[in-house]
Amino acid sequence: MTQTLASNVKAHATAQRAAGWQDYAALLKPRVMSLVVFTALVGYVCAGGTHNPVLGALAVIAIGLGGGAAGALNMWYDADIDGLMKRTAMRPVPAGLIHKDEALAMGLVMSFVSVILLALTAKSYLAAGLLVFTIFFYAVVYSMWLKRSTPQNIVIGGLAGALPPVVGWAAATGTMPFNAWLLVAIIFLWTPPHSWALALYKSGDYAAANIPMMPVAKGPKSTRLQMLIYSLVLVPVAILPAFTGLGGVIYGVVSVLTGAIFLLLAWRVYRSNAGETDGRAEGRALYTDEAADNRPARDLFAFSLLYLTGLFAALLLERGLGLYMPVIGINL
Amino acid sequence: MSEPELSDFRRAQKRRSIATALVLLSFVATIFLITIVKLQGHALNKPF
Repeated sequence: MTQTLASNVKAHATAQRAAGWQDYAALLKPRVMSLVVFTALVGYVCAGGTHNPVLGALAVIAIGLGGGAAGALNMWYDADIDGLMKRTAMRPVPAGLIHKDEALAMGLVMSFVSVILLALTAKSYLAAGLLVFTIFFYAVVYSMWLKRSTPQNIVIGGLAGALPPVVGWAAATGTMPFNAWLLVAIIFLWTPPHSWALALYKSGDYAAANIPMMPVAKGPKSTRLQMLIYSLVLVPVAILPAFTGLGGVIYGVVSVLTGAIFLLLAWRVYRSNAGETDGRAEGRALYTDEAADNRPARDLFAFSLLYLTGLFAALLLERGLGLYMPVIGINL
Repeated sequence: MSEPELSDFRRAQKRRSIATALVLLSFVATIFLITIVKLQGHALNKPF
């Protein structure tokens, strides 16, 4: 049945309408792109120093464009498996609204433009080099290789999503100090519990497309345990910036409070039967899954977005609005 | 391709062409802006 899903959707879409600007925008994965822009902006602002605001804004936009380019390249390569999953079958390429070649062209042109723009606006060429690496890692290493071959796909591939803060930092200063990599570490460690929470209640989707996500390859019980372990490492690492001169008192309070909630939700997932009932029933959208077993996983997925946003927003408040009050006098 | 389909195709093609032209123009304008910002107060200085 799933084999015919893509072709059915394609026929439906082509019969209904032609592609509009919103379909081209969807090709850039706007939600991922907004996270890239936000975390890169935080990296840029936390780097400190004096910058021309126009060049700073253009540098952050360039990093966002790079993220969008990587998204378009991912949609080009993954069109076949996207068409097999309910969650992604309506994306513009599998839905037949945009041709694969258009997605590829858009991804390549945007990659080129974003790197050139960053090279011209950043403090040094280091940032542009890092952006090239990020796009390559997401489009080639993650999309073409890891995603279909190992349950560690989102763990290793998560590096691509974690790099924007260090790209932003390098754009502002031309350096990559310990604190910049600490931001990378937070996103890197956050990715597995975040992605696996979704994979637990969408495991049927991934199984249908033959993607070896952790719940599909190793089972829900092992996934829940690994999510708890990653969460236990993530939360202390996320508190660390308060003691390295990156975050101040506000960040310290936010990271401790939200970290405690994150751990509680991860513990609930570990103790639950999440993932035992896959979410394949008709009409279940990304954030809503009526299966009671999967509720803890859905809660953790939703909160994990709030958690990361909260941590980075606290840094932005402190550094951007001058509210920074150091917890201790170390600056790494 | 039927006549209505051909007409839709041409309209979509025209929209894409206009969008591409606007994107290219904004890219050129952005590069110009970066140059001016980087030159700052020296923008009006003659090199000789």
